[in-house]
Amino acid sequence: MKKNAITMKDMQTASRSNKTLIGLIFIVGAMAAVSIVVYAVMNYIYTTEDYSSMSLSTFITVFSVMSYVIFFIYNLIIPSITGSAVSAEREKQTLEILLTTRLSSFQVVWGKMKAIMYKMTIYYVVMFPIIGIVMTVGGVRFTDILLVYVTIIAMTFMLGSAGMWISCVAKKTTISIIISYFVCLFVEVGPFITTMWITNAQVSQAYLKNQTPVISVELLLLLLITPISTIRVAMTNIVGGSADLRTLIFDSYYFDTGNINHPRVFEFLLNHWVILSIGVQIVIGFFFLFLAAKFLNPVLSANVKKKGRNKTANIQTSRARRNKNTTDSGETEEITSEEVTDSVETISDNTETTEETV
Amino acid sequence: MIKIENLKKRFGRFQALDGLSLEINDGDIFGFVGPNGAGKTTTMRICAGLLKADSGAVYIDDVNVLGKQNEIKQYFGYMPDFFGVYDNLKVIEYMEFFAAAYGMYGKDAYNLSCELIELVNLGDKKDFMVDTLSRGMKQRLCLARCLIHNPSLLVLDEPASGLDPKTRVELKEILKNLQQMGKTILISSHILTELAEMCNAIGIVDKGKTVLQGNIDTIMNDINSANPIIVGVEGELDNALRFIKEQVEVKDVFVEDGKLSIKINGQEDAQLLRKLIMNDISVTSFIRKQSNLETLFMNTVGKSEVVE
Repeated sequence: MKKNAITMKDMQTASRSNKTLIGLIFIVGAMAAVSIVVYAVMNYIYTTEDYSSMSLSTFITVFSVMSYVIFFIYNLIIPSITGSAVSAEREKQTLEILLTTRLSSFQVVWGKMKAIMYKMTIYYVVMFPIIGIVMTVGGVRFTDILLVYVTIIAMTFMLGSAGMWISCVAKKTTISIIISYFVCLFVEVGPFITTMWITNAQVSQAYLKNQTPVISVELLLLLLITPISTIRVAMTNIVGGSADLRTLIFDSYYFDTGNINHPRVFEFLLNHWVILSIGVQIVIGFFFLFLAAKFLNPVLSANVKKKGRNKTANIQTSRARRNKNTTDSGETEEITSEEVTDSVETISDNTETTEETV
Repeated sequence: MIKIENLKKRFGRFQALDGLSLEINDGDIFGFVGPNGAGKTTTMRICAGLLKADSGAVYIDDVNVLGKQNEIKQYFGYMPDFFGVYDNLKVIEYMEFFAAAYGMYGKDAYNLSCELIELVNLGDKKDFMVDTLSRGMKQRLCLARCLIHNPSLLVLDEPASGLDPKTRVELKEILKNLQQMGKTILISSHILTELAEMCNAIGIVDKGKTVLQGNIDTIMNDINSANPIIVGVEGELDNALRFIKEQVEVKDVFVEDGKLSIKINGQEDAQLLRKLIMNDISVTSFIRKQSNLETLFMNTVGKSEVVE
């Protein structure tokens, strides 16, 4: 694989950062605590309900809960990391320098995204021993752990790319991170609320007319972008049981194939949900990465930024005009020539300029 | 040779560049002077590929590279007026990172980085963390960073701002060395006396236009030739004043601070001095008043404002 200077640098600086160490301790600690608590609770339930011993399914449940916790932790981490990726470079005044190098703007954002995915992989790898405990008992295969990883990485890529784009557009890191969290929340919850709301309306309307409700399969497509649906279906495939995508949205009753407008499409979606949603998330991720790269490219982004610049320039022009008026009236004219040493002279002009601000 | 032709850039209603043109010869240290908002940084950012010009051309050896980012990135080394350094990197790692950004890795990148660090006199600091360096050292490190891809033209935006006099002298020496190595340097600064010492060519811009440009010695000679000759004489000034007024080549003469200030037609300095001596006027000093870059700048920018 071709080396990317940004990825190498980001990994190098992250390896020295206290934040990384704290992050690792937090994640491993949280996972260890969760696994112990879940195990204890399961143990309590089994002993009080007079089962002779804990079964294999206990450990599968532990794995399931751990996977959801990992999923939740990643949702907390990704916006904060990606939201600051580019805006932090801008605040450190290193972004312009990067853009003057031979790296293209896409290489810059792609390099950053790769570094973030590597970091997320490292976080997953350090949790591996804890996750791996369930493997020693059985019931969970290595491929299952890998499937959870792929699901999480696809989510990282999509949410991370969106965060990266926001980071390019927003001028301040704090604002960028806040917006990234909102976007993350919207992507995770938004499609569910929309689907539930529309489905509910369709069902209610059908009952009012004494008709059998027919659900549009197109609605389900919206859920493909939601990582919760991916992890949910993936876990159902691993753990087993009757719960699947239908229970996530509404009462499974409505999702009997007889109530779906395209039953074969519905079945196909259900059977290939994980791979399809991962694919969709990767495509969306690349879309946001290209948007971010386009925004960073000084030549391509000229039109994008023009509107904002016009506004700033207009403000500055009127300010400059005001200053000129006051200077003409002799109120604030100040041109200083100050001898600092024999060889150093400076001339400073206190006129506020449009160019610098722009 | 780098030729910037009729460069225009508008930000909303503000015309930042209004047909700016410059010619920079190979090996020049070209001083780019102008008041705040004159268009210096905009020009430099366009040259560095960070801004898109509305119209115009930037020729490098008769090839227009404007809008061709790859060519621009190859030819230009840009140092903005801020440092832009990473805290968690060592000096050598910082350089290696930028070498990697230009596609150089491993031993080649390390050797080149070491060479450039030595060039800017930071050899003993290569294992220091970048954030522990002083302002002057960071500035020199940034200069080394600009050189990593061996650009033909260095575009330095106010490189000496905020530096102490000693560091400025060091920076000046480094720039002179770079010139000797064949680099062309476009440098903007407000420290005009230093520019005068460093640069062999100068361009003064105001309101997005080039007001004056050319070889600094030629420009200064032209300006100085219009300056009065200050003559000191021993004894009574009146006789000398009367005699000088009678000479045909003298346009104007008056007494200033106990000395005669004489404006003459053309370059008749030697002839006037000969006449004074032959008429037994004891001349103690005879010198043409010298203008400096600061005077030139103030006069040029002032004039352009009057014209507008």
